[in-house]
Amino acid sequence: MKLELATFPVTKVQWGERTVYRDGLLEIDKQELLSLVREDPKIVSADFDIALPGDETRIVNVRDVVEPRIKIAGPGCVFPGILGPVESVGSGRTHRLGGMAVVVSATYRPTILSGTAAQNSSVLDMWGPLAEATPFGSTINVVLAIKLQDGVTELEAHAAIQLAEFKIARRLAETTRELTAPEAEVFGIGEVDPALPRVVYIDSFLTNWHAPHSLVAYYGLPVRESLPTYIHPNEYLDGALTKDTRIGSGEYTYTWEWLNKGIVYRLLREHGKRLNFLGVILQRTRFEAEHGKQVTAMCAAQMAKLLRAEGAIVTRTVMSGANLVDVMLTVQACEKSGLKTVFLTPEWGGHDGTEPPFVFAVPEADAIVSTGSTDREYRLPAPKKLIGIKPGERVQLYAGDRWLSPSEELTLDDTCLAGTTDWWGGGKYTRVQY
Amino acid sequence: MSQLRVVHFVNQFFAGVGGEEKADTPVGVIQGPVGAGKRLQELLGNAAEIVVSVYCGDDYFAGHNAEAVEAIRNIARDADATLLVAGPAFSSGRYGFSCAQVCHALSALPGMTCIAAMHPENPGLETYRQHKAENVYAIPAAKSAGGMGDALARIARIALKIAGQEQIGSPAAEGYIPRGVRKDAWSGQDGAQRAVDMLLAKIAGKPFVTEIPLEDAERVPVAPAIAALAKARIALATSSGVIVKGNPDNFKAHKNVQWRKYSIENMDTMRKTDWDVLHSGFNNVFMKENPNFGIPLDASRQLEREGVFAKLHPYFYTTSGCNASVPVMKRLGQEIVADMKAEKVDGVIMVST
Amino acid sequence: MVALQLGATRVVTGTKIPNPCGDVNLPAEDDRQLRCEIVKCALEALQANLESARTFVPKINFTSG
Repeated sequence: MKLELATFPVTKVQWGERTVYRDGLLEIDKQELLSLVREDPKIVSADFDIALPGDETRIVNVRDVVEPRIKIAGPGCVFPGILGPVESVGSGRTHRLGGMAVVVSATYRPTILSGTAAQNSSVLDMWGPLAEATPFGSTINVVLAIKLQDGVTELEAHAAIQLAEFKIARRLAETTRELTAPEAEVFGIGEVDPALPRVVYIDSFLTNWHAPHSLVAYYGLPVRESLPTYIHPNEYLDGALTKDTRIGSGEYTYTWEWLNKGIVYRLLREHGKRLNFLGVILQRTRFEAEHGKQVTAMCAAQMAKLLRAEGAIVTRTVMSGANLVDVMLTVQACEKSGLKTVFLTPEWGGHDGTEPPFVFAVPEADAIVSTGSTDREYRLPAPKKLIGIKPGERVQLYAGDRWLSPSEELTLDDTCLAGTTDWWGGGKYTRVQY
Repeated sequence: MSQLRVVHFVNQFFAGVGGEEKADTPVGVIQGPVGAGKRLQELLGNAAEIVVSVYCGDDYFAGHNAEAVEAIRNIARDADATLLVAGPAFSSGRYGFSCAQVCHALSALPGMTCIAAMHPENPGLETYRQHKAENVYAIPAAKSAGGMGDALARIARIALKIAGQEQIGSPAAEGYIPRGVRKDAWSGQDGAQRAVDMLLAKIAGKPFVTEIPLEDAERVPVAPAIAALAKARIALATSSGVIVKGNPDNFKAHKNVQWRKYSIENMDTMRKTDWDVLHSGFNNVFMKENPNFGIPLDASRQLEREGVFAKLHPYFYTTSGCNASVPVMKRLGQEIVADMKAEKVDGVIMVST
Repeated sequence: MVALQLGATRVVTGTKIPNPCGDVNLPAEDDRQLRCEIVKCALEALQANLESARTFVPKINFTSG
């Protein structure tokens, strides 16, 4: 199973008469895109904007960020189960627009007002301290700002937001259909030298089984309380893993990140060179009683052993203390069964680094790579331009939070900001012991 | 460049006063370097001068902590010293402790830097790791005074940097024991690459260095048991975020910095009154419908009626503990306990989610 | 597990995170009885003479997960 991923770099985006890509320039017919979005009657207002790295622009009510990709050859489509039928993906040829992203900013009247199933959003600045700390501060962002009609259920809100951004992403990627990419890479995990160390990637992510959308979906099906599942790494590249788009807080994940997971690309590129990449074990957390945590930990380790792995890299999502327990127990179960295990993760530590990095740990977690702290504080200067909100309006980033005036200077932490948390090792920010 | 003025702290033995029999010697002063301090002065050359050596008996320090520290601080201040060297204490636990305490106290003086030296397993390092002061450096030394030469050389290396007003880098680069402060940094390689490199080293049995050393859990002494439960006053507390409906006290859904107590006088269940639940770390639906899940009032009232314990305290204590800062929660805990003690509460049932 | 790591000395095992003192799948009276068992276990913990931290498990059955 091989996937050729062809990259068409975008260095300039502008509005034009037609939607077309040529030599790094992406021209967009705004009216065409607007009519695509308006196909959904649940969207009562929509507008587009372009936000460039360096602009003193603040985007508010951010729900998701997605990279335009389209399948050119091979079974299925990008975002199978959502934009097309459920068909196994990860082979053939897929085109992507590099250096740009579609950001969706959305408002609607929520019906769940507290707890883990409640909606939330984040802030994205294209300049200043925040822009440097997130990958989305360096991409040319086509921003879709929408408002949904009153009375939508939470699940309808997610579906409307997701469909709108995915249709736009697909339409933009479609511009490359007949073109030949300047660069392309072929990915797969076929047979290699059997002497190479056998490595498995355990992708641990939090799901809220009781919520309308559980936070993470596989082929569009929300993952709820299932046990570990074995998948092919190429599936990420075609958007097999997606997320709840009502949840925009920086504490969670963005579709763009699922398509561009640092650790997956690194392992794919090392396959056949320094290691034998056996594949991916998806593991949902967090079980709400100790029994469940122990079973998932045992099962993930056992699955890795059945694959005859010698080593495992484990990652996680969401800075929840409770889900850290599931993941630490998984690291422990792996080590105890003879698998050499590395835990790649952000840490807490407080914003001056004097608090404990973890609230819970196991002695077997002796090989940790830190992607930095999620407790950083940012002083963000006032923007010249706001997208996703009218000047003078205020925003509440999550249920129960204070109301902020985004046109002013803000002091926020990583949970409020889009993309500053590095779950999957794509960045170089870390913390060091002093 | 003006010469760095150094104060050297030692115990009674290294001051030449005497051995174990002189451990109750109070704080004393010697002008210039003493004992091994003379060797240290040689290593420092002209860049720094040990202007005064101060000593204190190990037992005297342990029994008169505050006075000893105060005296030593005054000596350092009067001597215009901006560098303190404490030890080397090697494996001596009492000496290591006093070195760490002196460093902690003097680190608050303006412009002061402190260097202590002791064996990495010396319990004095617990104090050092607890305070996490960035102007205090603990140098690893051997177990016994046979390692004096090496320890002095390491101390001198850092002291000379300080004398030259150079930046002191990371523990790995400079050879000191980390305090456990985590500082932002940017690696030359992304996390994914470092993870693969670390895993391949681990599989091959090659050495690697974890990027997050795990801290030991804090040991909390066990409070004495309740001797006579039938006479006891029991209070209920929770971190699940059960609060008064409408949130009049402005609790946040996470990272709270406050606690409250709310009345449950004459109530025998949480269900009949209107409460809210504000905690963004779990599904609040069940708790909202039946707050007895977080404040087990119905069960506690029944047991109170049956005489299992004497009195259910008429208030419950609450905060929302989601994503909380550990030091903040420690402070809240101490405040809550002070309130409970004033109200003669004997035992607490604390429910957390 | 987290409680023990952070220094709690008398730890009683509850049921599930969203409802530590109860079970939403039980009828009201059974749920209340279960709660009584948990509180009783907590009261026993308060009376136990301990040298070091210990976990106490109430005598209950509940829907796990």
